[in-house]
Amino acid sequence: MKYQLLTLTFLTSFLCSQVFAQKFTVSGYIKDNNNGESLIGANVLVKGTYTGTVSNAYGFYSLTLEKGNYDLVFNYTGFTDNVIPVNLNKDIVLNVDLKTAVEEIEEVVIMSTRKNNNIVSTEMSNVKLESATIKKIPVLMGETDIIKTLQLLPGIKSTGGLSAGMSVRGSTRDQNLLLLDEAIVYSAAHLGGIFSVFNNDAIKNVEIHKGFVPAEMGGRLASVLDIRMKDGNTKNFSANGGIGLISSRLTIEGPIVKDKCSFIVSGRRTYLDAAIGAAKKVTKNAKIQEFPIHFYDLNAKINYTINQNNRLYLSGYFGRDVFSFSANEDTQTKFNWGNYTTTLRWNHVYNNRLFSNVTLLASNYDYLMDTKYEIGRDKKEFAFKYGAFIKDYSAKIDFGYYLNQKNTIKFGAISTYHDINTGKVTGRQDTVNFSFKIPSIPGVENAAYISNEQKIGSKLSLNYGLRYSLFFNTDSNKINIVEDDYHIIGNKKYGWKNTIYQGFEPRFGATVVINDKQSIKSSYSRTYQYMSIASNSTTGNPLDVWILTTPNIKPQICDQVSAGYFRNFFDNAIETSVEVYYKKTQNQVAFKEFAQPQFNELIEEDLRFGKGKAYGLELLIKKPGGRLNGWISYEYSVSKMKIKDIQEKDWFFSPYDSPHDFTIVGIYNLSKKIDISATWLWKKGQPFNAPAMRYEYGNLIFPYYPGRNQDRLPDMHRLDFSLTIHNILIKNPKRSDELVLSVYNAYNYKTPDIIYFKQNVTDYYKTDAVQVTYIPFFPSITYNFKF
Amino acid sequence: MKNLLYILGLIILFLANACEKNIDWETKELPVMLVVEGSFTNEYKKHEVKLSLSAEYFYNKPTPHVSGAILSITDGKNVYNMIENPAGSGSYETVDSLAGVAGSTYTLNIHLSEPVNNATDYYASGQLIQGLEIDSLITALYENPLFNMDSEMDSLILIAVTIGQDPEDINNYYEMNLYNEGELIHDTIDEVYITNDNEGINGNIINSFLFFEQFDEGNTVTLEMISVEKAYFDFVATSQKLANQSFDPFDMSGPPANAVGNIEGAEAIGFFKVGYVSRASAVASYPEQEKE
Repeated sequence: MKYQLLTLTFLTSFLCSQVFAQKFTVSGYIKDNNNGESLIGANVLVKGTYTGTVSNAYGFYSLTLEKGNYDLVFNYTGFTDNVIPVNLNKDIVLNVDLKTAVEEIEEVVIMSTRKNNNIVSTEMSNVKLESATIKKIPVLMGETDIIKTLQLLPGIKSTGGLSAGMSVRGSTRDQNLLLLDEAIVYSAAHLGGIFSVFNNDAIKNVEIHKGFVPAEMGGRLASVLDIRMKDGNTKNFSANGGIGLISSRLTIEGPIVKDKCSFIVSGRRTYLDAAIGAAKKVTKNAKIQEFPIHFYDLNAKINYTINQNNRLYLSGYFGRDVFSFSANEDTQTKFNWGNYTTTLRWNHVYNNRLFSNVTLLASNYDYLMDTKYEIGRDKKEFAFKYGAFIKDYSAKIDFGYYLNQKNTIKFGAISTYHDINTGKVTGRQDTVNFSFKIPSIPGVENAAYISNEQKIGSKLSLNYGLRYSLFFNTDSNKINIVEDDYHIIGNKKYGWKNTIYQGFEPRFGATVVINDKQSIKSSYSRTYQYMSIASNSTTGNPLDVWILTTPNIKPQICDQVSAGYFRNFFDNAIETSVEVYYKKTQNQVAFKEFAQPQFNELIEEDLRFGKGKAYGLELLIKKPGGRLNGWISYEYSVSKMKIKDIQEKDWFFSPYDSPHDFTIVGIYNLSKKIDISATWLWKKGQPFNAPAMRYEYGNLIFPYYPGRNQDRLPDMHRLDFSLTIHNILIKNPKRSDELVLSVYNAYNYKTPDIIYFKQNVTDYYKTDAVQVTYIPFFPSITYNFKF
Repeated sequence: MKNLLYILGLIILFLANACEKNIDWETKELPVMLVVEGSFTNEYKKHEVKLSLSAEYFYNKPTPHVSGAILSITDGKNVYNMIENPAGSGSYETVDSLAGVAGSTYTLNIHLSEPVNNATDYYASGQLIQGLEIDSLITALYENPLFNMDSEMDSLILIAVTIGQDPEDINNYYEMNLYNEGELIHDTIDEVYITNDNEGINGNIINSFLFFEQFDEGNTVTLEMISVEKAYFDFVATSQKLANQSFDPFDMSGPPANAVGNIEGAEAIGFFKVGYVSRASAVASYPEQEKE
């Protein structure tokens, strides 16, 4: 009730603040002049004032001003400002194209109006990355990777080793919502996490909300990673691609009807399996170890501008990892896993102040293992298939109402049906077929929201909203009845009404602009999460299955407060920020010791629940433009959990707790032909379990552990380096190519990715501690082209 | 599930080109604890308890025995004293042979000559639960359809059918031992078979079990079923997981933890197992149609 009252107060306050002067609206789309891509988050400012707005996720903007003459400045990072005089005596539609500033990098960027968007915006604890920045950062095996790049930012950590799993501000890895064109991507990992599934060539924009999550987003506790695919070039046909050490990429895009309809198709496949297989055949060297695994991705999108007020988009992603293995001629195992997503969107402009987007979504993650043996002397066949999936179908509607230059209201609703199969086995032994399925409990997740971004005077901006979420299980399956001691005594149909969970999720952010160089921001978010990964793995695993809230599993709830001080120096050439946060999680889902989350009909017996807390301080010094750009970040953080009825009775460190984390990212434009970039990172090791003692029992030596996560891996640090040489073979100004040489782990530091303990093979009484380093010094080379 | 782990292990091996090296690791300091390994059953014999100490993880030699302790087992009415035999070995046995009675609770009392983990007195109790009484055993050998991938020789499955009543209305947990020609096949805790009567045994007269073992036709097979408490069943199950915990890149087994014993007095390790033993023997043979 408190929250509703609060919202009501704000709503009345802005309604009363309206003055009845004659006002008109200028609205339209902001696009890249070069390829017709809409620009997300581009600024529109009335020259010489702070009055302005920002384009939305589809490049649409709307600005309502009093009657008069204005110079409107349109700007976007990496583009030349476009100043357009407007005589506002009626509502006008003004579509604006911005020219890219690449060729004039030295002169224009430095001279152009500095952006202090980071100071004045109501957003905090969020980071935007353009695909061009991501491309310049050195990476393993030359594979540009969005998630690996995000992990270089404060508050975002890898879940361990090389993993593309994310822990945001101490969260578990399932508390982050990964959206690709608004569709959920359930598993972002290729090859067990070494690469993420997002192909940078098809990506336009990446934004992560790690603290304040706007009311239009929800469903996970810790963060929302919002990735938008390119729409496709509406002006010309173009192709770009690359040939790398382990994979090749190709993207083709172009107009179907010029300026009206365009497409983009982008694919990538690894080929180490084929290369090593061929090398083995040619050299006839039996010692060469085969690499029977590959992955591929396909992104495709088509968009159609019906008219100024209506636009359709259809986009999809399809990616899989495929592993196939034969131990001998009698056995054959195929194992594949992957995601697909489909998004159909209809943008509609009702009038120059009301924008809407209707979205239909489908997303899927599944895996299938297919094994065949021929057994015995008479070669009887034994075959089985094991698989699991999660499939989502959603319908969503979002409205943006640009009430006036001081208030932007957003409202909408979403409903998602989650279909889940946590495990199914079918098979055949000789002539007998068998089949077994874990009963899974589907559910429906719904949410509605309203929010307002409000400017009060020139100093204060607010962003407040309320999200209401409601979840229930469908009646299709029986649900286990669990007693207080976690013992399952049977199952029954509860009826969907008895499985409802619901909650209000208030979101609030405030920015006080001290002057054009500095501001103070604060925010509060409450988030609900109705599903979690049922897995013992901390880093992530292709066999992970998701489970939904049921009468036995309460939704997880998180409250987070953050505050920050933002300050720019040297005419906005350097942006700095300090943020602090504290968050508290209820109903944290965990497992008891030695749990068996996969293929377990009685999974509730293994589940345990508790609470979590995390707090920290994040420092960021960023130089966004110029010949030398990049950032330095430092983070101090603590993340702890307390779980009821496990051996560890006290608070313990979450596996992702890494109190000190320091990163430097530098990109230097050496000449027109050469870019160099380097990253260096140092962080405290993650907590893990090391035995303290040994004892003998039942004719074996056993380890004895002091408690949960009481030990820590040694500190890790690493230098990566890359060199990009432009225009190697192609000199044509319209076409380009580049050669990227990169080195991962340049000084070959033996990173302690895992430490494990084992009995010595030869000496029964001896035990050893073994350190595993995944990737030592690893150079790679990639050739990219564009025409 | 083992297959999946195997494949996942392979994936990471292919991928990671990982390099491993032995390192020095400084363990957390914990107080030395008493380790108790004891057993008491319905069999008429001298029952044994072994006492030892835990040691630092990299101790790299046999852990020390605990000698000179005073031990006894009581059912609440009678006290059965134990003596160390041989002296200085840390192995104690009841002075006289005796048999436990189903339904009774037995308590082991330990008085140490010197404190361990700040305590000299430890105790543990367990109930002797009536279990399946095997009247007779029938065996059948089969070729193993699954685990002969690399072996020339077919390994065998033994199907043992016991005829005997499992008590109804009791949740029974069993430890099972197999003897080939009178010799215990597995003497380590990680290879002991365990089962409970949720798995279709409860109240049944005829039960069949599957063992993946190698027997020659004509060998004498002895099956021993020990009805134990759930706590011991869990202790064995977790000990087996601990023993098999290996390098697993996706750490599917979850964070390691300790096997929870039943020794009280101060934080201690191990178990005083109280069990109801029943056993039967038969000659291993192929079923009729397989002989051809």
